[in-house]
Amino acid sequence: MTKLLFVTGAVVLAASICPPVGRAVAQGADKVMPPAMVGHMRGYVFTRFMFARPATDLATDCPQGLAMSLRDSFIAQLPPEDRPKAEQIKGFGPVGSMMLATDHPENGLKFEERKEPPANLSVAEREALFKDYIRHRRDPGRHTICNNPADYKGVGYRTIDHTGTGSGLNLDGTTDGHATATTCEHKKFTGADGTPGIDDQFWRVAGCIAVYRSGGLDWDSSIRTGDWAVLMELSTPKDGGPDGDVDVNFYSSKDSLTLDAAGKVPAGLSLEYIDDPQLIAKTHGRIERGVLTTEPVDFTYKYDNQIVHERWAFEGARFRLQIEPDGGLKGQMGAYADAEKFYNYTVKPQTIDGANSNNIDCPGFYAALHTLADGHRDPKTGVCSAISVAFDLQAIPAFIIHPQKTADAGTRVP
Amino acid sequence: MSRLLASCRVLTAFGLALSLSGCGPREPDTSGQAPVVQRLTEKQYRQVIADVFGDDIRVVGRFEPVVRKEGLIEVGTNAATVTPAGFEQFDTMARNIVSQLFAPDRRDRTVACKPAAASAPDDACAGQVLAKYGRLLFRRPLSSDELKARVAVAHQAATSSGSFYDGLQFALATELEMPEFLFRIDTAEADPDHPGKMRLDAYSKASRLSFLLWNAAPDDQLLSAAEKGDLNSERGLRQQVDRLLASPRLEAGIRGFFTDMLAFDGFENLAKDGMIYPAFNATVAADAQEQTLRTIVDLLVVRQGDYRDLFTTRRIFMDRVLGPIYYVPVAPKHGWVPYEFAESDPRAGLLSEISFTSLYAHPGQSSPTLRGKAVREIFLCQKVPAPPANVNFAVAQDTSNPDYKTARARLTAHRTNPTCAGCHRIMDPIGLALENFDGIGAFRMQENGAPIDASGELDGAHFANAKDLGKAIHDNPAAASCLVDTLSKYAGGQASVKGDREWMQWLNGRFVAERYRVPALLRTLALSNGFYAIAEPGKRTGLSTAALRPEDQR
Repeated sequence: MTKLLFVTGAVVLAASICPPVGRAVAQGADKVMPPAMVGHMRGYVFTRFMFARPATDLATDCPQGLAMSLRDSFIAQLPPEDRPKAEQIKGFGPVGSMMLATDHPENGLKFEERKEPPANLSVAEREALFKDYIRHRRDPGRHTICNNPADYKGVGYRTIDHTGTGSGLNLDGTTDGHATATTCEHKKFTGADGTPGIDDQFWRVAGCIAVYRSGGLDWDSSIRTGDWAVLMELSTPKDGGPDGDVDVNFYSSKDSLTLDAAGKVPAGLSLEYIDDPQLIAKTHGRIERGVLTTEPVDFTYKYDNQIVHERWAFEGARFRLQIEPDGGLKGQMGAYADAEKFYNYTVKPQTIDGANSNNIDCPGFYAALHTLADGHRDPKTGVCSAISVAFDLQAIPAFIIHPQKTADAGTRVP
Repeated sequence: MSRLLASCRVLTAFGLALSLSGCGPREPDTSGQAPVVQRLTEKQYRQVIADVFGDDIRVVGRFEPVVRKEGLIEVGTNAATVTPAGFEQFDTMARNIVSQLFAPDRRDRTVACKPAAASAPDDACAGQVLAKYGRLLFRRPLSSDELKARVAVAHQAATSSGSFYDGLQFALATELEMPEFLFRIDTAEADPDHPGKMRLDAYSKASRLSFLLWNAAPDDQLLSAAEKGDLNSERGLRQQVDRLLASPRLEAGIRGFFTDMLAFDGFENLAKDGMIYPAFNATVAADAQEQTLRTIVDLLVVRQGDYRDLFTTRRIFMDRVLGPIYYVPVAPKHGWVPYEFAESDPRAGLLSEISFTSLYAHPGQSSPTLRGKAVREIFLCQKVPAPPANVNFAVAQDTSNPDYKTARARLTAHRTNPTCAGCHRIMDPIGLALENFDGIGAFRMQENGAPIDASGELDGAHFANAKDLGKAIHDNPAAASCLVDTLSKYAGGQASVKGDREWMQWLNGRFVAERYRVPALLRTLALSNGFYAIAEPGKRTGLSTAALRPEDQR
């Protein structure tokens, strides 16, 4: 056995010595997650990082009902005499059973021939065929209704238009959404607690699509399957008390999260971040009475979900996070996302089949993103190209490992 | 002689280890041990197969349950038998092993000689192969009659199968099924240096040495030394002992001993309630054992440290699996990294490691009683009587009783029963000191919202918490003498008896003089006469003394 260097632990476990910042240890104190300290920085991993979806009533949000699916929108555009025949084709179940007229930029109203895979294929051959199919359907160079949504019309697409209850942060500083030097005029939501001036134009775009609403898809479930995670470091308030100014760093995790026997991410995981400047964001913040608010920061994170591998970039991201009695964090991020890129992140990678099965009408979705864009205003044209979006967040303590500075985990001694 | 004594005084004055200079009290006679027959443990079986045939040979099969006697499996192996079902398993394993050895791509490596004809018996070639492997498997050369019998088996099987190799394969499998392989059998002979007394023969000596220091069968070099009679000379024995101690394989020996002493086989059946302890799983259990064994090897072998420091050391090894339970950062994604707890950290020493706190706990809660009992029995060699059959554990186990939120409160109520109080008085103070570690060893300050009081007292030493308890055990003379006693039992496969008392005192004294260095203790033991002395038939009597008398511990 070679002689090894030892790392001195810098972690003080006793909750009484180092309680969660800003909160007294409350009931169930033996289940409080202590801070995960490396040096003077507390680490967290976000276990929830998902589009905000307020618990609002569908009838209020979308009086005309949910937005039509790609299939239904397509059929609605057919000549009336063709619609009954088209209705007989149900869904996208068998792969390739229904391919929309994606090769017809003129919005040709035809169904492509159904292509059956050759019989008696081996498993490997079937897998190869499937991969080829996926590659083909996701080929960004191929002209399809979801690759080129601007070339098509969205029929029956619906958005949220009211100024009632919503969820998110006030990004433009106005309470009525009037145009500013950097933003376009837009409607505001009111928070469930009465907070005025909430910006979340993305919710207007997506809120009438079932999978985006409460009970729909967990878009961030791939965090818990270990595909991606956002990490955060928080310095100890400079005056040493529970409140005060702090440094806040965001990273994308290089390591997969693991789950415990209860299917939850345990506190205290050691997670290294990806040492890529594009995926590192540093800003300042302030903790007041157990609430962290950060200054705006441009923030990009790595998002992986099955066949989707993207980097989601946001401008002017602000975080508001409550420090919970159990030592975790809960709150929101509000930010602007480039409308064109955001379409590419959220819809384009899904394939036509995926978009359809999620009831996303690509042309309608795309058009709404641009129509409702409220940020990044072009001073010459007055057109906005970025859209405000809110995310619901939850985080638990985790030890953040710096890739090139393992000594941060402690002090090496001979 | 006077010069030697003078040197001893000088060395002693400088506090150097007496053993290194050969100084110190003369080794007293012992009553001698009984020759024992010990069944190979699973670990030993697998190690022998790897050593003899190569570590690419897979051992597939189920081993019969082990028996723990005097706190050790190694002692229990002298009472272990092979049941018919167990023999079937050994038979299956043997056939599977030889089928790998005689696979087309490996056969020529297994059989160095070429038979005259592949379709007929060749006794000469078969004899070479069976003698070569038999010597390593039986840990001694096969006698002429034994070899003849194995060759006859090969001959007969080759004739009936029409294949020399099939016949040899079958005969080699029978060697793997014979008691001479499956059991370590002590053989005694008259001791020419002590007329009228018995000692182990050289091959038995070689086995004892090798299983003690490497947890493996003797290698070719050690068997050759036995064959030449070197192990019966002081110089020859010292050469081999020092060779074995200097080998990297000493780590396996240390691991084998402490795995047995700490009763890590208990992990095989350890279950935790997933609802209460979702962080615990089989990987945590395996890594917890590995963590402790790495820490032990690092302290005792790599750094040649004081055994007693195991109870106080802040140096440990960590991996990402255990990191969340210890709640510490672990930089490497894979593998182990040395870690040192901060001085202010509540953890230090083996008793605060997950391997101990999780193993000695209930599936859904900690257990001061199990932990206290384990400390008394494993580390202090003090036997705790079994509870009476009609004991009522209702109060002690009801963690939801709002009147008794902590284990201390529950056990205090439990001890109102005078039948229970006697034993709990010696177990609970120790176990309660570890109450800051829950049923899987995660740190906690409170139980059911009530603060945990971890203070107590051990043999007059008061402590406030687990770290203080570790210090109290470190300073308790029984800790060191217990290790000596346990190691002695492990080495000989049997408990010490009254007639060993003076010898045990001597061994204990040497351990103290050697500043509690375990490799030095192993050397002393391995070079001692007592380790190889065999009692005259019917003379090994007296009650088993699991521990020395208190006055002997000092």
